[in-house]
Amino acid sequence: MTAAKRKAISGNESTARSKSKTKSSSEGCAEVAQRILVAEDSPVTQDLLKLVLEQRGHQVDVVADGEAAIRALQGGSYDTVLLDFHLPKVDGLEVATRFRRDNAGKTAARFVAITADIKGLLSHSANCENFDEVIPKPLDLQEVLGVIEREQSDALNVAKTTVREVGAGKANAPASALSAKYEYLRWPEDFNSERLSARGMHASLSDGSYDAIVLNEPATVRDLSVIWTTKTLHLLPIIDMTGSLAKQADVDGTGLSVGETGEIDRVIEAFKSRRAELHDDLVFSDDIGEKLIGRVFVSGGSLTARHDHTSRELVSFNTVLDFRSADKEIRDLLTRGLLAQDFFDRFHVCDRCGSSHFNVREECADCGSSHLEEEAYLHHFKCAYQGPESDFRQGDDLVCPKCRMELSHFSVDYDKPGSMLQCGGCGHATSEPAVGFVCMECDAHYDGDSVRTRDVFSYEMTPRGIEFAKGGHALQDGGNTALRFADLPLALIVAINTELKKHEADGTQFSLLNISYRNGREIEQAEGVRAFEKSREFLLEIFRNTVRKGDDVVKGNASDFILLKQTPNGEARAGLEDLKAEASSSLRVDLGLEFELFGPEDFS
Amino acid sequence: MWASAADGYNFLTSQSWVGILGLFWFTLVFDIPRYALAFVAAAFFGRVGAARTDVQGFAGRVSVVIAGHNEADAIERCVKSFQEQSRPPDEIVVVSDGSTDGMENTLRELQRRGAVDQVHCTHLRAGKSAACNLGERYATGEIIVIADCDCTYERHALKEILAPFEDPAIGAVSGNILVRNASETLIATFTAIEYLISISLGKQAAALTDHVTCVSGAFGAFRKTALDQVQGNDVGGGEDLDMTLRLRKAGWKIAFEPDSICYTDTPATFSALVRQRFRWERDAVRIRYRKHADLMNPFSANFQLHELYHEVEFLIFHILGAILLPVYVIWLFLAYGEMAVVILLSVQIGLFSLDLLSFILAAWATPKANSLGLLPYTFGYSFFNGFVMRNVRLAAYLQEWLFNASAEDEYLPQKVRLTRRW
Repeated sequence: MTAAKRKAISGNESTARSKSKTKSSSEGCAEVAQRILVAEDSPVTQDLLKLVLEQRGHQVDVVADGEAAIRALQGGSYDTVLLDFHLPKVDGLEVATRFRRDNAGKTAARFVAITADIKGLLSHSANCENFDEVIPKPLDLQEVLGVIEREQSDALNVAKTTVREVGAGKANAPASALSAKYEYLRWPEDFNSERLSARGMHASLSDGSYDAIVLNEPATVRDLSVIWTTKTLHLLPIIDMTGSLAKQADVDGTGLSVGETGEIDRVIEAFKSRRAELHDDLVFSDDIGEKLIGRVFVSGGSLTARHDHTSRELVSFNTVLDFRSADKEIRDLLTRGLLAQDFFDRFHVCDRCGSSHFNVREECADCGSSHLEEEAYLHHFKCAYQGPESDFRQGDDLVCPKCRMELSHFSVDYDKPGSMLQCGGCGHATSEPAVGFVCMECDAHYDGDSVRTRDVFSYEMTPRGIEFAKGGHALQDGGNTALRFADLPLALIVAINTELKKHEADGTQFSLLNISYRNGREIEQAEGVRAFEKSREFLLEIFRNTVRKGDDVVKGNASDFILLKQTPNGEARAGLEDLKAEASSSLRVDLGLEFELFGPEDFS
Repeated sequence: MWASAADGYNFLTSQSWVGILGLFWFTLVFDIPRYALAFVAAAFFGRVGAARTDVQGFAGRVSVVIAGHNEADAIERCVKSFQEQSRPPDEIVVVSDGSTDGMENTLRELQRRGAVDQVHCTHLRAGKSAACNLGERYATGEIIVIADCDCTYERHALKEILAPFEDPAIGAVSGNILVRNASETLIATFTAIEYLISISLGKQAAALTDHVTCVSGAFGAFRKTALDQVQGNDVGGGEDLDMTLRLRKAGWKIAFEPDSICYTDTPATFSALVRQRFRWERDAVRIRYRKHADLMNPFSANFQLHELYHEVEFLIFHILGAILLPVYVIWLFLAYGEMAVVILLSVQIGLFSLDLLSFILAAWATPKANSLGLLPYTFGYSFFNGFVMRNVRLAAYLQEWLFNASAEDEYLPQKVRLTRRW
């Protein structure tokens, strides 16, 4: 079946693609039925693959050795061929290589290698490029379905017609400051137009074979975006030998001389040991946000913002993810409490195109022209004429335009009491220019006081974020409502401890109310951090006036607390409505208040 | 006491007409004529107080120029009162004359909001004349209205002050100045009455005979061509009087517009009032009789009977009147002993009657002022103006004449004072 046919069946390729993505993990049929050849000598694997693939609606032919595979390939046209590397008679690699050679430029079939011996496969450095994908054994059926049913067109178009000349030997040759004891994935050799070489695919298995990604030629963040769409590559340190990523790479290797491997080794080792601590949920996650937190974790726990003139936002983080994508994910991570923010800088943002590249200039308040010339006012004491110096200029002389007297003595005849700006555009004169912003990307113009600003933060992983990185989803989901002492302000910990002791002694109840702000981030974005903080302070002040004397209202980090002493949870819950009413009637903005109630048993 | 009052009454009523003339010569010469003009004007021309009903909006371009030194607090209210005009100006130009109180920032904000069109800020004070000249240099209107920061303007003030310019012979129009803080102190109340009589009524009367000699610095409108002809303000102070006299010399007619009303704050304390009047009267003497002495010189090219009239009028009624008052009082006591008190009292009663009549006439002629509340204070005003302020003026005249005191006036920066020729 050709790509055109497939398109005709699915109606709309992009819809089909996105649907098949979601369906591949659920029960049901594949959006696009394929003809698949399975060449596998293990009967168990044969049966398994046949069963699963046919259930998905694909048409499956099974062969047990290499020769049969070649025959089958010659006899029929397949969309996908699953080849075991170690096949009897003719091995899978040979099958693929021969077929590609004989049918160069014609076939649309996609070759997927199935093997437990990835190293063996890769040792055939040139020929292994004839595979489009590699799936490791033992097989993860979800992965097999994912590979077969995802984004076929890219693979179809690229793989069939070109045989890439990539040499493993070249890739393994150590560059100047690279220590020979590590395996490196190299740019651009192992990456090609958003697709990975077999070595790249191998690295994405996270079996520990590769230790770092090395840039031997200049690359952009966009070039490297593939590391965020495949599994695990984002967890490798990026060593930039070209300086093109300098601020976003983990090591800038440009200044290192031959043999000076210490710094790179240190980073690689640090990544390695942190990678070992990272939970598999995050290692294999498909979610960019979770990938990001995983990356932050292995790279040392912080996401540091830095000025970067090459980014349109003028800022980038210490990771190879563009600011905009990162920012989107970070918001979510913040609300999940995995990151804590620290103000970095405030940038002006073009409302039209989002760029922060501005020309900031003094301009005419009337016509907006920046063609301003400064000119002194000149005051002739004797006749009270006061005007621009040019009124007086006659060659080298100053002659009063009113009384024709020549001014010869500064401070006796005349002085210059100030200066003004004359607009070359409209002739308007003023003593104070306006400040204007012109977007360098879309030419939009903003007045100094109307241009929007964006606050950029650096981020640190919170204890909760670290816990998530190490413990995965199970801990995170269960830990959502469980309060941890470490998260609480010190004053509150002391107070709760006192209450707990009382509770143990005579059963006195207490309630801890946790107040969180669902709309906090939104308000910060729209009105600024200070506006949100102010509303929050105001709210707490209201609560302080509402609760009984002796009760504590404590400001926390991301959320705030009210400790109601000698109050059972039931009673507290009854009073909750009053608090809510009080808050909503006094506040101008909707903070998205959420209350959670805890009692002594939550701390046992 | 009643006995002596009765004696005094008998004394006065027993006098012949010639005797009365001998007793009251001062009042008859220096006071009565002062009022006469207004009364005559009111009686014979009947135009005083007749408000125009069909004012057409002036079609030309009008610029308002406001110059001030350290007026950060006042400027916004002033500008707003122009924005609120029924005939708004086409342009507002503000000059901050070496202000150090943040006026510059206020102006910048006003300009940003579009409330004013041009802002010029200097860092060294140049004085009101040069500051206004700077504003006029950049003003683009064919009529230029000069306003003061600490004044506010009635809604139709601009429309009214522009109306006389339909006559191409009119070079400038003076607005009517009323006191905004009349109820603040007794001094301010007296000043309010004084303004009403001397400006609202006095200038209306003067205008009937084309003798308006001062277009108030607080509110006046000038034809740009006239301003250019006389080359703007000369070195101050008293630049408003000076400018008007120079316009008159140049042949321009000056009008007064009673319905074009500007409100200003006057000094609320006696000492502040005295300081202000010292400055005004010194400047008046300097400008009229030093700078413009040629108006009284029959051999000068500028000599005109018309101009001689107001110069002489000021000399007689203001200066001579002030000089001869003490002489008159001393003479009365020397000649009539205790009876002098009775005579002065009767003089005061007479003056009060005249002032009361003037006030009523002024109030009638200036209906917008709504000034009847001031009526009970007229008697006090009459004494205050007739005896107290006349002596203040006398002191100012003597100071200027004998010591050239206006040369030391702090109102002008020293660098400018040093260059002044008069």
